[in-house]
Amino acid sequence: MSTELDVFVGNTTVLDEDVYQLWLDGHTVSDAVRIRMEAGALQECEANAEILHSDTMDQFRTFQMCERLLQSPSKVANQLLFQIPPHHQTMLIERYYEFDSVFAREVLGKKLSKGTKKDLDDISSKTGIALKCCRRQFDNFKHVFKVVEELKGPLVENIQRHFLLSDVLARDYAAIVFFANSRFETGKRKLQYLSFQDFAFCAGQLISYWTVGAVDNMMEDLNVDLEKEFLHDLKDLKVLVNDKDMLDQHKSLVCAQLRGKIKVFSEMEASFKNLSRALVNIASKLTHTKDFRDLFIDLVEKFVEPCRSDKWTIGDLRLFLKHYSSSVRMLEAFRHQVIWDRYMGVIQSCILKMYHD
Amino acid sequence: MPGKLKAKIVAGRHLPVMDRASDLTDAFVEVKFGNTTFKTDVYPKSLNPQWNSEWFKFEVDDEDLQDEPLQITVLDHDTYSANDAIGKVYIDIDPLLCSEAATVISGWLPIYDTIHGIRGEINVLVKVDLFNDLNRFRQSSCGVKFFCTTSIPRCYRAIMVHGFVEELVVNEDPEYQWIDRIRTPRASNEARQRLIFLMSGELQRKIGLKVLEMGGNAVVGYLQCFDLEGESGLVVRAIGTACTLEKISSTLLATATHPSNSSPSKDMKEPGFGEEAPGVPLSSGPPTPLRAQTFSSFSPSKSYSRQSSSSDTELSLTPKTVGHLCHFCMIPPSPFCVFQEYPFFTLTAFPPGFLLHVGGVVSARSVKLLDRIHNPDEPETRDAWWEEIRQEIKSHAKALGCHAVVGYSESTSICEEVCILSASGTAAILSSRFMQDGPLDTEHRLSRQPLCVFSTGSERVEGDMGSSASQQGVFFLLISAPFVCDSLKCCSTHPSIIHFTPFSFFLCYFLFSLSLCCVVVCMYLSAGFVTACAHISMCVCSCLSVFVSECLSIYVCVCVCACVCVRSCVCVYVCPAPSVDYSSFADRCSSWIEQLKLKAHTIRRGSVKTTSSMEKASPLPEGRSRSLRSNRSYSGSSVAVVKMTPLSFIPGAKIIKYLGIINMFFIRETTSLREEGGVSGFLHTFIAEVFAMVRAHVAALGGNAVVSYSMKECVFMENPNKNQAQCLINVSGDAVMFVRESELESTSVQTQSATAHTSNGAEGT
Repeated sequence: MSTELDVFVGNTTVLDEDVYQLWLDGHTVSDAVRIRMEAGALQECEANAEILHSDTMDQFRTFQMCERLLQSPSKVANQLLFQIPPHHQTMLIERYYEFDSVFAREVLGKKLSKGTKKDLDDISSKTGIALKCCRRQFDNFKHVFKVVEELKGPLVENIQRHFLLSDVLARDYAAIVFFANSRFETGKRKLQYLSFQDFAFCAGQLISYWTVGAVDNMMEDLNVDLEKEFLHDLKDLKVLVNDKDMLDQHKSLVCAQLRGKIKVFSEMEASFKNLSRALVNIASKLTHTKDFRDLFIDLVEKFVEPCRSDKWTIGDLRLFLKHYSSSVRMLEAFRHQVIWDRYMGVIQSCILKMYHD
Repeated sequence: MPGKLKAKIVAGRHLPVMDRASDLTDAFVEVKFGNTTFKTDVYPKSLNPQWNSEWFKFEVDDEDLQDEPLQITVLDHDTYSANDAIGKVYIDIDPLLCSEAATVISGWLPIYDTIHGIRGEINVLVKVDLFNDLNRFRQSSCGVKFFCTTSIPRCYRAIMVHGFVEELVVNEDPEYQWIDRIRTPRASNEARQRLIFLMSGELQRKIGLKVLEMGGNAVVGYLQCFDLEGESGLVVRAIGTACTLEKISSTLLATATHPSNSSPSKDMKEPGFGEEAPGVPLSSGPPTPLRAQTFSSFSPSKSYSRQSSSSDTELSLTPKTVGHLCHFCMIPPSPFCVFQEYPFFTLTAFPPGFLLHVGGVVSARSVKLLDRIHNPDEPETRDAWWEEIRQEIKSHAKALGCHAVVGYSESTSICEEVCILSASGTAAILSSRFMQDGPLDTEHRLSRQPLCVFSTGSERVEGDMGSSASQQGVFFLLISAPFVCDSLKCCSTHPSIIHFTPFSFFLCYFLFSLSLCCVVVCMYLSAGFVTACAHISMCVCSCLSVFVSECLSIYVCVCVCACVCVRSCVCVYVCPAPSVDYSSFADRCSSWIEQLKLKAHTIRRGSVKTTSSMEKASPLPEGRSRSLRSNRSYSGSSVAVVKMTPLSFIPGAKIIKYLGIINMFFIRETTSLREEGGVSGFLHTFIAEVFAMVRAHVAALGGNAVVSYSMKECVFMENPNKNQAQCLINVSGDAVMFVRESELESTSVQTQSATAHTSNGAEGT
């Protein structure tokens, strides 16, 4: 019996970015060869299909061997097994940790556990991303989560330091870790229109302003938990809707500011109390885990959807939120200005990000 | 007590997890040299231990320093059961014994296990204090420099070339000892690895002694081979060219290559052949086998006395009483004597004017049966075998009217009980001006014309060739054809030796005609002189790499040996010949490499590839023995990378220091072949690991490149049913330190140096 033996090993590891991408995308060797041939690799290299096949094989094998190293990227630079030029090292790591936002959207908010891993074939068939590729991305999420879970200090920096990722990618990972940790509900049908980037933006806002680390970055443990004290203080905001005078005063202040400036003025005037009540209620209930997880669904159901049915434009909404949040300052009886600003700052930008079709 | 070896274990990193419960390791290190062992403290619960040990001092004889490797074993401490070995590092301390080479070994070295491969790295510091020993009867040869490079190393000047040295050491193969039945594969692999380290140390020491006796101080073109004969033993043998070298300042290099070069004779240089050469390629008839290779009897020939007049042809067999019994073939020292017992040179590049005339390829082959050795543990039998071969080579050379053989090499190929020994080289006439005494001028009948000779095996066709083909431009310079038994496996039953020889001739002929084809092609392209060097590499290579130089200075083909070749085929390197303008050769080479870099995937496997017609010719089971090649890789980055090249120089860079020879032997075995990605996956990993270890050792010596790198002697055995495979690889090369040539040197120097590389390109097989 003769087995095929065909290996090419270089002193400096030869890598082809396109082949790497094919490998990352979870193609089999024969698929990859076909794709490369269609891309005209044969003409470019004056090679034949056989050479291309063994070349692809070799590269796939190399990547497979590198995979172990890529799981702890800090080792890539000082390992001795592969002599890889530095710019290639960065490329290898960055590409390995890149993910499809469609996939990330599916996994967002789910527990990064074995159970979810079993659902990957569903996600794979839904998104059209190869199962192998889904697994890699999922394992990366899980791996990053596990590593940063035990670290102190700012989340994004930790990810960057340990995984040597670019700033953008590290921020995306921070969002994933944050969602996995807080387990926000993102799967409801009403939330389907939101993309990963929308959520990542909101996560960034929440991390920057509401978490423990936002106040004190020397705290122990994962600092992506929201600050308990702050959530508790949010209950005080209830006065804004419970106190009738204050509500009326708030409404008239906002109306005075917006008169003639927005198209949907009458609708706004009519629904002001409902909208205000919705936002304040969301704030006051955030201490309960269940309500907290429903933050996004609540925002959509109670705020985004009413506005959308009244056909507010994004400009109208921006203006409204600006004055809605700022005119509170003029309410003399209101004493929770700091809490309010901290709350509304985040809510305002989240809503604006989420307000699209 | 002429030497003190000091070792310090600094730290480890990336160690494997040995304790599943804690996911950590309690590592400690054993440092062993000879029979002395030291241990470090256990560094508990860490994958990155910091031992920072004291200096372990070994007071030893310099003889042991040469023979023994420093053995570092990393273990995991276990309170209840035996300590588990993580892996080992063998450090050859030979480079430290020579004052001009490295002074310290310091750096991260991969910890290697024969079953698991590389398992983490260890940081060590090794130094040697050597006391001068002027004992005349000493058994050590510290200070003799060894070079794999087959030309005079670039920062040295040859004061004297003493001639051919050879040595051979035999031992029982641990793999075939009775104890192997009861010990673990790991233990047996380690015993084997250690033994081979010991044997090559011993061999090097003995060669060194010979060199000292001849009055030399260095061995150039050192070629060491392992013959795994199986039951009958394990042979380590080496050949080389003894020289007296002197370090020079590198700028003078080109002009000072030889003292008598003060009057360079243009007409005698190799390019002289080229001028009249754009002729039609040779179309010679196929040579026919004239006689069998095996000599039934052999008499040390006094008949060559004319050529060996100035030297003593007596073989003095002097078994020495050092450890293993050994056999010395004494070659009496005489100044620049070509006319020794064997006027062979393993060098392939010579100072201009040194080669007066080149006769053609000579090669000899002989088939032996290993189970017929009477006393397998003694080296005499093998010595006698090689004697025969060398004598035959000598007689071939003589028949071609040449008195010397250059580019000489020897190889064997073993399959079960059959062993084929082969030797080849290029017959040449050396300029008498370089001889101490030049009695030969009158004897050269052939000194008139560049001659085209085509010789395989024992056939000599020089008679008609000399007359009919002398005007034509094909010129085979060095053809090495180490044969594979594998292809002959089908007929390897003992009585069939008779069939054997014709078959090998067939192969030989095939090979020659193939290279001839290439030459024809090249002729059209280059209209110049072409030197072809064909190389059947164990019948298992997959690439045809061609260096073609065009007059238009377009290099048609790439791949500077870019292949770990595995499929059956023929590997042909056609090299640009002397007539092509060489002044820019080095430049082109590097611009070439730039191109290669840009199209990295293009170089892979070379752009010109022949169909593997050998596959049809030899229905051999793939993957038995293979010759593996490294590729030359060039990265443009300025990071501290270690380059490896089979060439003896680095394009665009100047070698400033030779740090010592790298000669390592690795065994890798797996019992989970499928899981590791089959045969290819297993070998891929192994080769990557071997590269990593070579790089690490070179870096530890303070070098940044390996030149004359070669990966040879690869035995590969697999058993897919048992999910097992085993592979043995030997790598060698010269560790060097180089600096990039920031500014171009003067053209003259470059021309000279480039010319010196003429044959080096061909040598890169």
